[in-house]
Amino acid sequence: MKSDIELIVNGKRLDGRGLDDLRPIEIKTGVLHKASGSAYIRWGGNKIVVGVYGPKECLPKHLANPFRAIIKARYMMAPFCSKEGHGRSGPTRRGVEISKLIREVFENVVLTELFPKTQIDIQIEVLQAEGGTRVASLTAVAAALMDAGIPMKEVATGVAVGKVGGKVVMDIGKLEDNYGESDVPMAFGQRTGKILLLQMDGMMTKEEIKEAIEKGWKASKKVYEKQIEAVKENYNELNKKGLTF
Amino acid sequence: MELIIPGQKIYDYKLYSNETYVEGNKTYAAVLAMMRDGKFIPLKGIYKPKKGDFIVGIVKEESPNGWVVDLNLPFSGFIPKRTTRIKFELGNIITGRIGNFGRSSFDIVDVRKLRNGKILEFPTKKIPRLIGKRNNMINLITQKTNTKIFAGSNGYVYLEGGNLPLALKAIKIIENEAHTSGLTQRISDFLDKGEINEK
Repeated sequence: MKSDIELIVNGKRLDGRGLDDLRPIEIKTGVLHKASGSAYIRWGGNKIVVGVYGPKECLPKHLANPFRAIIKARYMMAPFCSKEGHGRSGPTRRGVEISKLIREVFENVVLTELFPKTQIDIQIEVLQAEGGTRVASLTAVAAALMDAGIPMKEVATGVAVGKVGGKVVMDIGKLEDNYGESDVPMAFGQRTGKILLLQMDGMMTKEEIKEAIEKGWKASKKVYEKQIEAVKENYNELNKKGLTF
Repeated sequence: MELIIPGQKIYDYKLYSNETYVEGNKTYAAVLAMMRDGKFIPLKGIYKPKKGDFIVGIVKEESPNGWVVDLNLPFSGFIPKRTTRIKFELGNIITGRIGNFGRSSFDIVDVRKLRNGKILEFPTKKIPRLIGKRNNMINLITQKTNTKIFAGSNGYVYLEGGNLPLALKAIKIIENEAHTSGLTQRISDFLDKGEINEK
């Protein structure tokens, strides 16, 4: 969508951020009582709750794999989550796509071969959306999996990079997504630096893509710190009481 | 104390386990863990059943040749009728040991039927802490509250009789502070001044 709105003025963006700045991020783990692991993320205007269940009995049974666990992901936007309204709640074309890509990211990260014939459920509920929900929920799922104690090769972290006003910017919001030129959500494994997810909406040149990936990797490091903070927080409380390991 | 995040390198040599991941000649943590005196101690993890493990379960189904038991695991347990003379009803709480693994369930051997006590879920990685070295934590709670406790390695804990509310509180403290040192002493102090009674 093209518009006459200037999205970058004097090197600052609509909400006053610089080109490489992220929106404020806050993650909490262990928010749901009955889940094996859970997380709540607030990333700018996004509010997402994630629950991880399992490994549990694989149902229907014909889906069970005798060599590894299968992962099921379900991404769902609440009907009240954004201004446009996503109508009734339920699987939509968009929800099916995002569920699939999150499932595929974590199939590459979780050590599924340790739990044959089982399934791991990932439930994502978007309460409020403001651009970049897929990377925000991906980041929260990684924190929830850590909370559940499901073994992983590395921690996956997502960040959305975009091209706005002819420049590559980090962590684009809703307006920049709608009126900008390009939107490139990506996810990295933090140990190896492997790219786990790379999508592109709109156009970018080869050089811009290279720049986007380099800058996105640096930005994902900042998100990674927040994930670590979130899982450490539960143990920090006990440290304050003077109880040591 | 040092908290280890999944993907962090822990050793320069290979160490295979359910909580580590080996790539090349190096070992990386796969779950949240801590390092104490160069030793890798997982704080979280998923229990993988082994033959001979002590378990607590609930009978949930009867079939012509046995009973199906809920074990809080991806797979259910099975008590074949030909191995025991005890008759079970749905909802009975049992203890036993894990036997052979069938197509989709474990056989349970050495089965005992328990009375109708209370059953609660406990994180499986913290069960060894609840039991303590040579059962000393469980014995401590039993001694001071008069509550019978069976802790199954599958994460079900059975409690019966005595000062149940106090025992439950003590177990809650163990769950929250399982990774700290000097826990037995603190639980002992807590139980000494605990006043909650059954009535």
